[in-house]
Amino acid sequence: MRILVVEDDEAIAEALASLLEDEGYAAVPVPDGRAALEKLRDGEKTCLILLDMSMPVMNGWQFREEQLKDAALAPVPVVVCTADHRAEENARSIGAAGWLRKPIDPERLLEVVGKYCSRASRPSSAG
Amino acid sequence: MGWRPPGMSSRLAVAIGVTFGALLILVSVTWLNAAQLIDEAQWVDHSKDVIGEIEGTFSAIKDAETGQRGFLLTGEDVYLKPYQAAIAELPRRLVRIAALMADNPAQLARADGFSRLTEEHLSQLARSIELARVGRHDEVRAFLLSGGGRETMDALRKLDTEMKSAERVLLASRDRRSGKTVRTFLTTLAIGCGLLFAFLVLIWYLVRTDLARRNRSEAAIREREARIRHLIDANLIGVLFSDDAGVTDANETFLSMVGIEREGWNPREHHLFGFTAPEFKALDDNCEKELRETGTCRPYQKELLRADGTRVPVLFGATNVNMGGDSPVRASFVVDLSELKRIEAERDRLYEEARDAVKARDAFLSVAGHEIRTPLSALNITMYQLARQVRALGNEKAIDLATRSEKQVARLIRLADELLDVSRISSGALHLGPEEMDLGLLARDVVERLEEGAGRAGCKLTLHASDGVIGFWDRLRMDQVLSNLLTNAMKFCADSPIEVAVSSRGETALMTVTDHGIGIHDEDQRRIFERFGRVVSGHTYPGMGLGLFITREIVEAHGGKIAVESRPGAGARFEVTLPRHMGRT
Repeated sequence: MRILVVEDDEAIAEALASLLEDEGYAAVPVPDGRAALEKLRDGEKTCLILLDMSMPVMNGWQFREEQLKDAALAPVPVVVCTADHRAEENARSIGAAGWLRKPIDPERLLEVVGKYCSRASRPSSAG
Repeated sequence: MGWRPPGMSSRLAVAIGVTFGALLILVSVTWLNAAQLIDEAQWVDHSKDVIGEIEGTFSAIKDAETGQRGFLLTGEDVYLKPYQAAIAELPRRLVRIAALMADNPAQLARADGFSRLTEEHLSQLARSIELARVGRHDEVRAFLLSGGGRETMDALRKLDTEMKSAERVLLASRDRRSGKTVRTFLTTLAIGCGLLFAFLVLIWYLVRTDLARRNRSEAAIREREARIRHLIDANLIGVLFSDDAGVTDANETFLSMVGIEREGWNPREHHLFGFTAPEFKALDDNCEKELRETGTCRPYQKELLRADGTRVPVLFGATNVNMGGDSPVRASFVVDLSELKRIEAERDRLYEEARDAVKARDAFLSVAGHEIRTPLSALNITMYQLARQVRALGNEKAIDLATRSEKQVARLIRLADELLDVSRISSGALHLGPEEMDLGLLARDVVERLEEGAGRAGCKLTLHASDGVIGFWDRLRMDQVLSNLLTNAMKFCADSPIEVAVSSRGETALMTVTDHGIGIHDEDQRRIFERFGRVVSGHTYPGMGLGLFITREIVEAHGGKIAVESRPGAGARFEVTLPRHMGRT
């Protein structure tokens, strides 16, 4: 099962995906909510969505609204990743499973991911 | 004070009033005493008259008897002259005695008796003379020998003595009373004159004092007038005088302000408010109303129209001046505000520029903070990943470099966060999300998180937290407050322990962080909570000096207070007090 990294900043998206892959997870970065919805509907299973809130085309709130409308996609847990000081409030407002405040603490990221996803392969390095 | 002439002091008026009163009393008393004295003198004279009249009457009776005896012995009519004179005189005297004694019943009774006996005696004398004249000398002799005439005469003498004695007693009494009245009169007069003299001396003294005071007052008024005249002539401010008919005079400053040449200027052609620009009429109306009601119009700003149509901003005020005429004279002052307005405009412009600059700075801080954080976020993750890879390879040098790089990235993130917080504080966008939380538990989390770093800095952290320090606060911001205080203490702990304490006191929660490091000078203690309020060189201790500023802002946004107690070399104790519920203390 893959992790969907919905993040418009390419550098952050790539860094997150790279770290998760290093840790043995399958991570797919997408630049906005619309691309995320398309990816979710391609038939492959997703264990977790790491969702940035401020994005062009379709932002985090709009994405969550669309996700919840689709019964097949609604159960996929969402963890909000935002630089906003009110990260927890944002997460609560859209019924997210958790929140991570940017700059993301890598250890906390891995801890959260570990709750929802299982590794597809062994980590590439020892911790 | 209309009961006394203007300029007369009240004490002088009282002294004059009292003196007039005393004079009136003295005249009255003297008048009464004199009247009494005259009355009593009349009574003394009366008694003397009475005595004289009695003596005269008795003497006339004796004359009548002497004449009778001469005639009886000689038979010569010439001897009857005294008798006849007494006969003619006595009735009038007896009537007078009765009249004089009318006020004294006892004396009047005696006078009646005296009159009756006199008539009887005269009748006896007349009968003996008649008998002698017709030659009946035997009968005359028998009458004389019988002693009838002598008895009457004795009775008359006795009454004469009684009446005179009684009258002398009265005379003596009246004399005494008259003497006493004279003494009283003289004493009263002497005292009265003495008092009058004293009052006159007092009046003289008071008049002299009043005159001296009036002279001083007049001198003071003249001096004040001279000062006012000097002020007007000095032309520091515009001054104009007016009455109901219009302006009466103005100084050079005012004329220059409104662009009028004194030569050929007729002040009467202008009204006090005739120089005002039309849109300020309402303010002038209000001034006119104040002048009528209170006599003074408080200063206000308006614009005057100059002769050439341009305007001049002024401060205007006026007051009624009592000059003794029917129409109140008004003195107005006019201060030219042109320069002040120019300075104000310049100040406003500079203020706007400064405000725009601050806004631009905050906007820049906000954008810069966000823009820096985005690559830092990516860099942070990448550094973490790199460090894990390097640690897996086991190259000590590479591990050391990666660890140091991780720390610097963490530091950069912290600095970016601080810049963002400062920008939020400046723009009033420091939003709080209060929730119910336990400050003791939060302190435990923060201490655990920072314990390792503190250990590396040589400071042992200890926590004393009471149970259940519950309140409504923003959890992340409270975390930031304690983290900042601990990070600050760790910088300056100088290998000594740091104590954290959390407790509650009624509706207030208390959080303290105490170190035993280098301490802070008194003069620096106020500055450390200010923006960029560093007290030691950044080369020695890292940081931009924003941590404590942000900490104070967060605490105050919660309705709390932060204070520091410290002495150089004796460490520092930071104390945060927070209401359990924001907005309550």
